[in-house]
Amino acid sequence: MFHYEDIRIAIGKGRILEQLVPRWLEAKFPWPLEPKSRQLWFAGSHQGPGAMIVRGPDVATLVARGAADIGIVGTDLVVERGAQDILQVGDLDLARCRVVLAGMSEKRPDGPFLVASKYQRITRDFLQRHHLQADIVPLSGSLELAPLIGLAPYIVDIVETGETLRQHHLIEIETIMLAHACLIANPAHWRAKPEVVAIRDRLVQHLA
Amino acid sequence: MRSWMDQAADQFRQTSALIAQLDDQGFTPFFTAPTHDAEVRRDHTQAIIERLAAWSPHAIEFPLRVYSTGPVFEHGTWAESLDVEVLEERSGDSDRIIFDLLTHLIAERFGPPANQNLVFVAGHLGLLRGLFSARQWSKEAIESVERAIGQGQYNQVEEKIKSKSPELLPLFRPSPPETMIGHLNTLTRGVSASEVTPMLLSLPREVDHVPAVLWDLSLTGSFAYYSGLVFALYARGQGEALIKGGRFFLRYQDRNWQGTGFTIALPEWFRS
Repeated sequence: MFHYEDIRIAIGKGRILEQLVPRWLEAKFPWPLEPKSRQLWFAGSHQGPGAMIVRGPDVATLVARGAADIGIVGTDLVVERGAQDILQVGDLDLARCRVVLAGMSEKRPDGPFLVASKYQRITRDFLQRHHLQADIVPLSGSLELAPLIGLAPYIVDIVETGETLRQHHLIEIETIMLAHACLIANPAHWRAKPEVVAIRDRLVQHLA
Repeated sequence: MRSWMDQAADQFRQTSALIAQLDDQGFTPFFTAPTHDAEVRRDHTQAIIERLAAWSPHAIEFPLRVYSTGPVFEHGTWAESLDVEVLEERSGDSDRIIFDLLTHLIAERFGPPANQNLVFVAGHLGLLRGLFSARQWSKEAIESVERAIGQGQYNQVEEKIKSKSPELLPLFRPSPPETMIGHLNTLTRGVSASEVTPMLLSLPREVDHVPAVLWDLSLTGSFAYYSGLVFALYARGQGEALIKGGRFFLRYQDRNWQGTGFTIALPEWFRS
């Protein structure tokens, strides 16, 4: 019998959170927050772990620092941050999307170019793999604007259906990586708290 | 400011007390530079060996018991640590010394009575490789599991093992020694079980004052030089290991260097 009072799960806001809640309830863990609640956390109980709702890029940091035992976050953000101080312990069938190179035309860039992205590491690795030369313009959001306002003719961004790109007259040129939600764990908590492994097993069983 | 300075003074005093214990146990300070050739120190072991290589082999008296203090650069930040190493000429001399020291340090800091929050976890690279080899896994397949472990991709480790030897999966998550021994009895035919089983049986006694001793073959250490037993001491609720270490082998400047050692993460150690 496990007690979950001191177990905390950090959950990325947005797509992941929206898709997670019904499945969380299917796993028979309590979710005491009202729909559309602005509360960002709830404590664990003997029935289930507590949760913290945070920005996606912060999930892995909270887990690595031990402030959260487990994190639920997109694989794109794990790859972008680097995973040397966390464990990736499960893949979830949630928030499936793609990181793509997009631009005003379907042609792959020829010669040096500018690309706007919030994914500097993923973009750099992609450029290196394909022997492309580009300067990365770091942006944290609204990337679709970059080609329209002349900031950079290309972007590397995450898309689910591609509708937002189409609305901004942008075309997907290449898929760089497929992404989905995954479970990450703090290595010390994973090994010192048996509840963490038990929660992971239950979440994977219901969400994979 | 006063409380910050008091805390710093307290940490300094505790570090001094820890160093005094190492001196009492026959360990000698061995100074390494925090930066060298425009590289920052990420690990004391490598830094110690680089410095040791300045001496000719006959000038070093083995087993050599040394420690090095100071920060290491880890995961984008500096962390205060104290590193202890026993370097040996022949395989096997250093484990005993290191486990005696570990027992002493843990007893001084935490017991008796034993701190119920402590968990000692051990892994073993030779055992990991032996178990896969005994099942005719190719060298590449074994390396791919080790690589996935090194990159923290436990989900991939699980997938790879599930597809080929699912019976080994329980060994790749924290389990009590009895579980591991139960598996070894059935799994290690053809592997050097006779070498590993006594170690499994004795480890809980080796680390006195730690109520929970677990085995987990997905613990392989953060550095490529780990070559056999690796271990970590955790305190429930703390997000970093208090101690990380293991048996190492590395080749530097055409010489082989081997032994056993561990690093104490000082802030974690004092916080526990």
